[in-house]
Amino acid sequence: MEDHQRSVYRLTYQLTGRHEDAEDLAQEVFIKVHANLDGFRGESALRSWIHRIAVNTYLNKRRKKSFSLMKYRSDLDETAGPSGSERTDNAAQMNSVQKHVAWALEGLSPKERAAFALRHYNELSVREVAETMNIAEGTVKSLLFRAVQKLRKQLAFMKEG
Amino acid sequence: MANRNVSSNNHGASKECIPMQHLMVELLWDGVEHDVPERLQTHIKGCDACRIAFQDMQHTVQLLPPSPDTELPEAYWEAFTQRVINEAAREKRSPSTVSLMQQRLQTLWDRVGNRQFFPRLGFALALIFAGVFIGRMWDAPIDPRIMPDIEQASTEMIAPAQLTERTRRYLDRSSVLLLGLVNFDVGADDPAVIHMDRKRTMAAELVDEARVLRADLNAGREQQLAQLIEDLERILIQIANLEAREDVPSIELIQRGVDHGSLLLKINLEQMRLGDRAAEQSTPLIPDAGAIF
Repeated sequence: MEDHQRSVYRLTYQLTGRHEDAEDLAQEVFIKVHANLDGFRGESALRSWIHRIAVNTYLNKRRKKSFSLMKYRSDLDETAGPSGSERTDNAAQMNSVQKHVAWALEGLSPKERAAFALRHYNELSVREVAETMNIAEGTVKSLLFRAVQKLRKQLAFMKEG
Repeated sequence: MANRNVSSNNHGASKECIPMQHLMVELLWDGVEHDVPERLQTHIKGCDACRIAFQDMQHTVQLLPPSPDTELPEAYWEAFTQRVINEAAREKRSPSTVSLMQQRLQTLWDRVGNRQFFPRLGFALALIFAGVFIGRMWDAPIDPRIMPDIEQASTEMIAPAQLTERTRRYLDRSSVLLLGLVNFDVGADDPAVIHMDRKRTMAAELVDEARVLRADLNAGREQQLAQLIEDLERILIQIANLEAREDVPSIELIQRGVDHGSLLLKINLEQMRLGDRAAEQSTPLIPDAGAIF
């Protein structure tokens, strides 16, 4: 079980980018796993099943949060670059590539981020990402395309530098 | 740069570019040295926007570091496991009815086996009968001071009819909104025809109204309707959060959500049920004189 815990925590960290959030999310995921283990029919690997729960829980949490805090619209405007938003202050304190990337990932929508984390960090195929997120493969490709385009824009200064 | 107009939302990309973008995504994580299919090669020769987008995206993916290090000490996981167990135990529901009944039957049989069981049972029954008898004798007249409360309750009898009407109107508006999105053919229709701005505003208004309506339905013990409003609210939030631009993948997701939850069917059933109920509520209890004669 500890392997699964580590793997889920890794995923929740990739999705949230913060230890506290990742920890809360992972805990919620395992409580759900514990409660629903009887319902696991073995149609997929246990790991995939748990990852699906993790992604769904993350998307639900983000949806609620984005709704209550951002009032129908994401305030993470993709056009807001390092010179224009509140994130500038945070970005100014960041000096490593990892932190710049973490900042850029904040600009992705929850679904883009989930698709990106599953494909890039967990090396799932597009089909596996689609199964995990319960969406069509074409939608996954669109999400990934938009995610990489946004990251390209956010990280352009690194390329130029 | 000449072709920097390849923006994150595909502006400037022709219809031919979209399948190519999907192809690019498939190739992105396979490395630059991976064979680029001929149709993509042909396309990017003639499309500067896609060529630059592909190069930039490959470069971006290479720039991205692997997964951040998330290793935590062994002791952390022991504590984590303990927390999950404690939390799960706290949230765990009471044992199933069957096992509870089995336990109770077992206890009962154990007690029946005990010699003192029947005398105790007789004494308990006698106490119950005595209690019922005393209660009936004690049947006091209604205190006039509580009459205003009764009057208040009777005036509140109007509320269910109002609630029915409000819920009906809410479901009507929601189904109109959902039908507009569900009937939109992603492959064939022009996204501009669905007037996304208007739909987002309408969805946002319905979301605001949903919270109050749900609370009222719960208070009125209309759990089934409250649940439907909650399910509807989730979809409405997605609509309210749609980009004003042509967010086709999200529209597809919403269509799937509506379909998956059989939302329109549920709305139709509830509309029929509420229609019947409204007719009953509007029927006067005492027929008017004209109806009798």
